[in-house]
Amino acid sequence: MKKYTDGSCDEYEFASTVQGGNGARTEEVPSREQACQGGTLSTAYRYQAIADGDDFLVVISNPGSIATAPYQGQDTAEDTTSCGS
Amino acid sequence: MWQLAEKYSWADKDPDFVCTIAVVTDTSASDLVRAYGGDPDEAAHLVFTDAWPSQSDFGTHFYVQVFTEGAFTVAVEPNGWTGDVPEIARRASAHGHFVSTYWSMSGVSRMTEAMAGKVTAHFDPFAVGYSGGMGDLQPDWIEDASFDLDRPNASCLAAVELRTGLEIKAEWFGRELPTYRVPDPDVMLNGVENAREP
Repeated sequence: MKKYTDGSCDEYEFASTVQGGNGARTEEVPSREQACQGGTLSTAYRYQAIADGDDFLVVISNPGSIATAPYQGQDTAEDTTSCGS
Repeated sequence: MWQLAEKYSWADKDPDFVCTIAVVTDTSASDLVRAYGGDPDEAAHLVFTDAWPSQSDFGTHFYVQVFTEGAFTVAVEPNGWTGDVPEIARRASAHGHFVSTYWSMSGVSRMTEAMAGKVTAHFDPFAVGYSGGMGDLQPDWIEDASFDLDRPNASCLAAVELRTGLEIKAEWFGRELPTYRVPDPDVMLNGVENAREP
């Protein structure tokens, strides 16, 4: 449930995957984080040629830079100035 | 508004079609490029599909295509979201009216509107009336719009036309347009207080 003015509801598994949609876990995250995640996913689909029906593995590559607690209206990620890099 | 959305059915045909589109009045293309953090003297002419950020650029730089249509200045961002950030709406609307729509691969859609430097709307059009829309800045004109989850992108483009009077044309996305390199908005606005607060 979205509560905060700069928050946005996001889900895992991703909405754009077969596993997404009903049953996916939904949490409020900073809008910045959601934009980065969506953009990263589009970039991966495009440049890694992931097509409809293809399997892929999701790996969190920089766990130290992301938020370690649920979003409470403050973006607490260590790195809040860039995404996907 | 569903009749208006009918003509935008092209916007929902490709599931990989993600972008932010902003329509602004009372600004020049150069000023709008600057508001997005670009250099108006450094234009390349690219079609939409070639103006995606490269894999190596992603997370650092993006591209915005800026051009004029009559009295309007239009900004199109392939897989970008600078026009979704409230602080950009404030800056770009300093002397006029700004309306943008953003959707991404994460399933989010958002409408943003600003007038004379003040954000008047910033909301998920598919969460109106549901708890998922809590915290959104929802305008009165929501009642005039009809956001249809079966054609989300078309609904959002129809809402842009409803608010601005400008038709968003499919041919823009196949035409070479002046294209500018811009920074990640959250990098550009780092330190600006409440940049993402409407």
